Amino acid sequence: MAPRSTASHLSYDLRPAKQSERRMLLDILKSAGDIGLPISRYRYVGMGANRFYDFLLIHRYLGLTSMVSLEHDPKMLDRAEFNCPYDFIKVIGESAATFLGYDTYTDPTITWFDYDGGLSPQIVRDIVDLGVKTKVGDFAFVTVYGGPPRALEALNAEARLAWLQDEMRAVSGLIVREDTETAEFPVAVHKVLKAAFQNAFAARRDGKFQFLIQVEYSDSVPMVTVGGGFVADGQASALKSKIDHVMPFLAKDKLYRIKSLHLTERERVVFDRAVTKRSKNSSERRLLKRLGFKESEIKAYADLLRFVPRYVETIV
Amino acid sequence: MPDRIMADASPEKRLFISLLTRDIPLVAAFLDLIDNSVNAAVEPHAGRLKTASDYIQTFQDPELVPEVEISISISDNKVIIKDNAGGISAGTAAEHVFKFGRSEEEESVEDRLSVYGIGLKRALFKLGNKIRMQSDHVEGGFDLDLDVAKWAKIKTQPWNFPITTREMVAVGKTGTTITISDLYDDVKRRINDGIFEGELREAIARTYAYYLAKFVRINVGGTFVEGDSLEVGSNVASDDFVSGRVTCAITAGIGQSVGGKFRERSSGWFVFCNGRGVVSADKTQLTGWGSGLGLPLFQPKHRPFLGTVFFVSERADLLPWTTTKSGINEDSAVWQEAKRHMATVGRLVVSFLDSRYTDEGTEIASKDVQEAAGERVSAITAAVVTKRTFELPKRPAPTTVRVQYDAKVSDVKRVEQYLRRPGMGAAEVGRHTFHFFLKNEVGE
Repeated sequence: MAPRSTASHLSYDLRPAKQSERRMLLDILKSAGDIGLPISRYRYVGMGANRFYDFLLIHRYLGLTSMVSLEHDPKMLDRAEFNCPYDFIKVIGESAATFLGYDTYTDPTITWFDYDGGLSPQIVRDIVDLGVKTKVGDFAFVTVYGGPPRALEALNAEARLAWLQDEMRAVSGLIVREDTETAEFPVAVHKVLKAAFQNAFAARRDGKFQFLIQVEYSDSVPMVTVGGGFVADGQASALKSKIDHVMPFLAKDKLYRIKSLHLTERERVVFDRAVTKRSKNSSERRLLKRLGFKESEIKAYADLLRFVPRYVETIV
Repeated sequence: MPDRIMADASPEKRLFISLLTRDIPLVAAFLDLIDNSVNAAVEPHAGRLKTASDYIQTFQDPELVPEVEISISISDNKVIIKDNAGGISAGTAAEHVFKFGRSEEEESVEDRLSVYGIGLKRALFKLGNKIRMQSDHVEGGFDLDLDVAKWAKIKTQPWNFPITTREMVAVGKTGTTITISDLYDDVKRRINDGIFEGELREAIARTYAYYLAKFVRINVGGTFVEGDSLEVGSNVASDDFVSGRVTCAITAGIGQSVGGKFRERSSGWFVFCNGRGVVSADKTQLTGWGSGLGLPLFQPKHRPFLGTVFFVSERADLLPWTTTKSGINEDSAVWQEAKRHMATVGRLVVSFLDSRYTDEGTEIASKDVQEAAGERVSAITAAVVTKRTFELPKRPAPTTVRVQYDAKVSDVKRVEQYLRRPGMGAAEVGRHTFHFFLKNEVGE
C-alpha cells in the first residue's frame, strides 16, 4: 500500500506542485486545440474523487461538457456523487479496467487516470487497454504514486529490483539497481509507465502516440505523470513542436522534476521580475543569490512561472 | 543421343536473405552481432579455454578483468555496435568473415562463439538495408559499405561484398564498428515498442553472464549491463563427462532467495555452450522435467532448484546449440547423454524439495531450505568438475505427530455439552479428550 496521498490530509487548494501539473496538462490540451483538434467537443474521463478539481478546470478553461468520473471505491461513491459539481459529469462506481472493458464511446476522448496508489500490474494492464481503446485524436494520461510500495520499504536494492522485474515483467527491463533507491524510485516508476505506453501503442498503424508530458512532482509524496496524444502522423510533429515552444522544459524526452519552491509573496515578486528580465545579472537575480537561492531554483521558477498557483485567503 | 545440359540450381539472393532472416527473433540477431565482438575479445584467451574445467578455473582467476568494451546504440533509424577488441584483418574479411557457412578447412581453434559462419550476416540482413562495417587491425583492417537491396539485384556469381583495406594500426587502436541504417519497418517498430531495449539488456545479462564477469563490458544506450549473478548454495551435486571432443560439467543445488522468495527466473536448468547462455531457467521436457525418464513434472515446490550444464569444445559446431544459439538441438547425442547425467545429478535435490511436502503438510520450513543450500556461491564457481553429491540435511527426529480419527458428530456434540462448551469444535474436543486420557489413565 502506498503512503497516504496528500489529497487525503492536505487540502487540494494547498498542493502547488499538483496544481502546476494540472495547469501544464491544460496547456497541452489548449495547444492541441491550437493545432486544430476540437478539444471543447471531447469527452473527459477522469477520477474526480470528491473534489473534481481537474473536471472544474477542464470545463472552465477548455469548455468540455461531456465528462465521466470513475470511482472504484464503493465507500467513496456516495460522497463522489454528492460532491459532483456539474450535471453533465457522470459518476460511475467502477474501476478503470471495468470501464475500459465495455466503453464503446466513438467520439474523441481525453482520459486521465489519476491513481491514488502506487505502481501495480493492474495499472500496466489499464495502459495496455488504453492502447486498444484509444482512437486517433485521443489523449491519455496516467498519474501514480512515485515512491516504493510499502512492501518494498524494508527490502534492499537487489530485492526491490527483483520485485519490480517479477511484478512488472516486460515493462521493467530498463530499470537499474540505482533506480530502486527511495529517492530515485520515481525514475523507476517513470520507466515502467513510459514503456507501458510505448508498448501499448507500438502495434497501432493508424496513428502515433506522442509523449507530451513526463513529470514528477511532490507536495509531500512523489507522484509521476506520463501521457500524451495518439494522433495522426502529421499532427504528432505539429503538436510536439507547439508544446516544445510553449513548455520548452518538457521538450526533452525524459522525466522533468517539478520543483517545489516554498517562497514568500515578497520573494515571488522578485522571482517574477528576475526570470522575465533578459539580463542574467539583473539586480533581482543578484538579490535572490544574496538571499541564498541557487541558479537551478531560478531556472525552475522560470520554467514554472505560468503554472505555479498563487494562494490568497478570502471569504466566500 | 540426349544432350547433357546443366540446370540452374543457384540460389536467388532475395529468397536466401528472406529464409535466413525470417526465423531469428530481433533480440537473437543483436546477440549474434555481440557474439562477433565477444568472440574477438576471447580470442587472445582461447589457449586457456579448452575444457569445462578451464572455463571454470578462468572464471575464478582474480587477475582477469574485462578489457574489451562493446557499446550498442539504438536510435529510430540506426543501430551501431562498436567494440575495441582485436578487429578483423582485411585478409580474414576477404576470405572468411562474409562467406555464408564455414568449410572444414576454416576451422579455427580460437573461435569460441563462431559456429556456422552465418550469424553475423544473418543479423545484418535482419536489421536494415544499409550496412557499414569498419574494422581496424594490427595487420590492416577493412571498410565495407553495402546496400543490401542493390546487392540482391546483382546476379553475378560468385557472391561477394566489395571491401576496401584500411591502414595497419597499433595495438590498443584496434576494433570494429558496425552501423546499420535504413532499418526495416518491422525492426523500427519493434525497437520503439518500449520493451525491446529492456528485453535486449536482460538477454545480454543472461546470455553473457560468464563473459561479462571476466572478458567484456557491454553497454546499451550508455548504460552498462550487469551480468546475471546466478547464485547457488555450496551444497551441490555435480558430475562431468567427456563425449568425443566435448566436455560437460553439470551441477544442481538450491538457488538463492531474494527478499525471501525463490524467483522464477532463477529456477530450473541453465545451459551454457562455451560460456554462452543458451537456455535459461528451463522447467520443461527439454531439460528432462516431466518426461518420465528424468525429473518429475516441475511444480512450484521445486522453485528453489537451480542446475547448470556447461558444455565446452574447441570445435563449437560439436556443441548442442541451434544455429540461432538460443536453443538446444535436442537430437544431438551429446545432449541426450547430458540429459541422463542431469537427471541423476538433479534427483537428490528434487527429492529433498519434494520431502518438504508430505501428507502431513509442510515438513521443512523455507528457512531450512536456505540452510540446507549452504553458503552462497556463484553457480559457475559451484560447477567444479569433481563429482559431488548433494548432502541431505540431517533432520532432527520429529517430536510431535498428528493424531487424526473420525468420530460421530452426535458424539462430539455430546462431549461439548458434557463440558458445557457448546461450539468448541471437533479439533478441540479431540485435544481435550486426548489430554484427559493422558493425564488420568497414562499419567504425565
